[in-house]
Amino acid sequence: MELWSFARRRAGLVVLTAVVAACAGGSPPGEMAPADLATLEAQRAQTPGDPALNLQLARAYYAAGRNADARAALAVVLAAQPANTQADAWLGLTYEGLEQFDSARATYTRVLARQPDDNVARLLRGRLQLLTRKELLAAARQTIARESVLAVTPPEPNTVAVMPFRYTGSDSTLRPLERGLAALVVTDLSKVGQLRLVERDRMQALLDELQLAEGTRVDPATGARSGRLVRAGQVVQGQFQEVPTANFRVDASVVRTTDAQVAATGSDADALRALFDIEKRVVFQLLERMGITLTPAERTAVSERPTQDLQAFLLYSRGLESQDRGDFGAAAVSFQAAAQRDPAFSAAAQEAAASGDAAAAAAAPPSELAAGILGPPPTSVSSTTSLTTAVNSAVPSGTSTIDGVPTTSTIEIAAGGGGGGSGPTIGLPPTNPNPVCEAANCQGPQNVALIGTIIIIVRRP
Amino acid sequence: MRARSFCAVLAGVVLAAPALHAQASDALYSRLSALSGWEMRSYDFDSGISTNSTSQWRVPVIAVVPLGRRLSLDLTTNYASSRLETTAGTETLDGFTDTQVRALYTLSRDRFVGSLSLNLPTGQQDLTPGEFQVAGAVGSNYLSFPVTGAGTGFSATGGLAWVRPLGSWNLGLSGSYRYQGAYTPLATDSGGALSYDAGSEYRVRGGLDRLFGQRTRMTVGLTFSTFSTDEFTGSGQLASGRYKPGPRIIGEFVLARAVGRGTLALVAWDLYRTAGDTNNVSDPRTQENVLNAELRWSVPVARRLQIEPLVAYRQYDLKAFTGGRMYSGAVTARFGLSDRMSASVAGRFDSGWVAAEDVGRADLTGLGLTAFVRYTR
Repeated sequence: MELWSFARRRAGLVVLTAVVAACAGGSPPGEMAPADLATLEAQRAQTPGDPALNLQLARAYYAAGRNADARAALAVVLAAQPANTQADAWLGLTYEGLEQFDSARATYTRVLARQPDDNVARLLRGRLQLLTRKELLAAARQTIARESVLAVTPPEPNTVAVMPFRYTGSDSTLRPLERGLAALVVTDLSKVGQLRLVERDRMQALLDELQLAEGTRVDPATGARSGRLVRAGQVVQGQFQEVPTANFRVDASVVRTTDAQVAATGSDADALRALFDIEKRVVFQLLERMGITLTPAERTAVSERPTQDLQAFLLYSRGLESQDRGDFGAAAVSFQAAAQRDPAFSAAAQEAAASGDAAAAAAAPPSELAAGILGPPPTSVSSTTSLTTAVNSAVPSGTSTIDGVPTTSTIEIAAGGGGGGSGPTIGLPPTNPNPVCEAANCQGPQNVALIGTIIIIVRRP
Repeated sequence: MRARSFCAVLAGVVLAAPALHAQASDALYSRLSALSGWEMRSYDFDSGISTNSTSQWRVPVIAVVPLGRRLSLDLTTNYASSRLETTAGTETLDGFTDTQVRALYTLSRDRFVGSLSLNLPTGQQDLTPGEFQVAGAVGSNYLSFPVTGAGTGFSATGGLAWVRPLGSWNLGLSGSYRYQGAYTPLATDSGGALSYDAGSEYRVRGGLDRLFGQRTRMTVGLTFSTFSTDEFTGSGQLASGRYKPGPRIIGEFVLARAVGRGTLALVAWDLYRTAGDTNNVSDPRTQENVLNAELRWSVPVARRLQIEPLVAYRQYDLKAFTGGRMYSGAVTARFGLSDRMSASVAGRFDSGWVAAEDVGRADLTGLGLTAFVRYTR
């Protein structure tokens, strides 16, 4: 009994120690500390081709912001293990750090094609969403940097950019319609075969960068300049406000980017609940005054309303506003609310999913993506593994006990997914048994009396 | 004297390590590792057999040291305390076990390894009859005691292991020869002693493993051992005799598959021992078969924490009667303490029964606790 009491107390202490030790780990989950670099580099000097070590090193380089070094270490891993999806995930993150967005996109897409589990797929889709935003901002920065060149490059006449509409009223609940109305106009004009539309988020990224660069609020006067930067021949600008007589009024104009002259105008006013009718009438006026004759099919398409629910559209607009701010969590909430109000509002549902993925990816530390990835097979069939098994089976030793307690790095690799390198150890029977028992058939405690019998047998004359 | 020998060997290995471990290595074990901790196993038996309980705890000391480019040395020993409680009283067996020192030499990287293992007699010999009973109780192939007996004298084992790809498979072949020196397992108070000269063992193993798809690995193996005749020579009141063990065959099977973030593995082995001859007469009681099947799920739950629940079934059959059945459940937590230190904590519960020829059948419950710490550099 004393043994049991002691064992239980001891076990309690051990478990408590284990939990404390596990919970008290210094580094944030999944991040290699840059301080680990020296140790890891020294180890790599001994075994430069070790994939597990290079993967650890890549993570440490990534944590230290040494993305080029991380990429080189990952190249070693992927040369030895081309199917190492975890390394691919870190490579994608490293490419992001290097602002090689095309390569990052290709890497994430390759990982996504391997059909990882739902959570990982969501994180990957989210990273692609975040990547899109980074790409747009980077493209906007490049565009502004090349403004002097673009200024003398003729725009494409049929390319149309739509600026956010400007709200001149005081009801802050209506301000999100600045984005919402622009999105509606982009959607409508994109159904016209003669026109090519600049994506709303691309235009928004450019305006955000201009605002960042110059510290001034974007106003209609920047339209022509912005349009030239995206090589649009025409820019749609507009404003809306509440008015005493008709409740709600929308004015819009089409500005030629070559000379900043107004090419067409449209305006309409009605009750707020007729917002979608107002917008359609304004769009048709603009198209007519731009000299575009719509086919019946185009007219029907432009007339379609994404939703009939004004509240749902307001929520959707609020989602766009959050999305443009980079607040994907808030955007997802607004889009989801819009989709719940009007289940037929497919654009809201799509944006809810996309923003939800982006929010999840933005909230997750980089290591979570790699940790969630299905790693290499449970234990790769390397000749070393087979050889170790063969050696230990023929000439047993305590190394099988050591193998049963994997190294920290092996556990971390396992945490990276798929059981990694620390799959189950094989608990084989004792192959080095007590030779007396082999001879005397001990058969354990149930036959203690039998051992006594054998002793008696030995005592026989 | 034996403890001093063990300490000298251990000190030699550890002192040799720092100067040599850092070299680039083709050795099978290329990193310095050491493990110690505490492990306990216990089985309680209901009435039906004469044994009430058997338990053991041990403190293992295991070290692996790469020496130069192709060589590694590993050392294994334990301090173990075993206890047997029967209806007649309680017997114990405490002390260091033998020390195994094994050298592995890489003849061809990832292809061909030679090995030489020495069993240094640091464990207890000259056991009293009571201690001998304890050693026999923990020597069962049915129960899972980590230390299966006391000192077994000097032995030397030489082996070769070779592996090569065979299409999608890896084929591994290995073989060994063990020379076992004579020793004295038993000494009585009245001055009698039993000298035991166990015969040599010849062992061959063939194994295959391969991947199925990207997530599934399968391993199969078969080990065959045959033995020459043991001689035991008694003095005083103890008589002499001969024993020719029957061949032993061990089959093993592992199917592991990555499932989600974890690895699910079915691990099974079967140990079959044919009947041996005592004084040239076949002894059917020595024929036994132990089948063990386990289902394990290793799942990482945090960056440095991995949990492995396990369920297991063990079946023990003897030629003359059914030996026992055991159902087990266990949970192991493996975690990294630092870059160089990792640990493993496990708890295990067993339930089943065991039968003894002409004696009876008894239900049993088993408990196991393990806490190991590993250092790797």
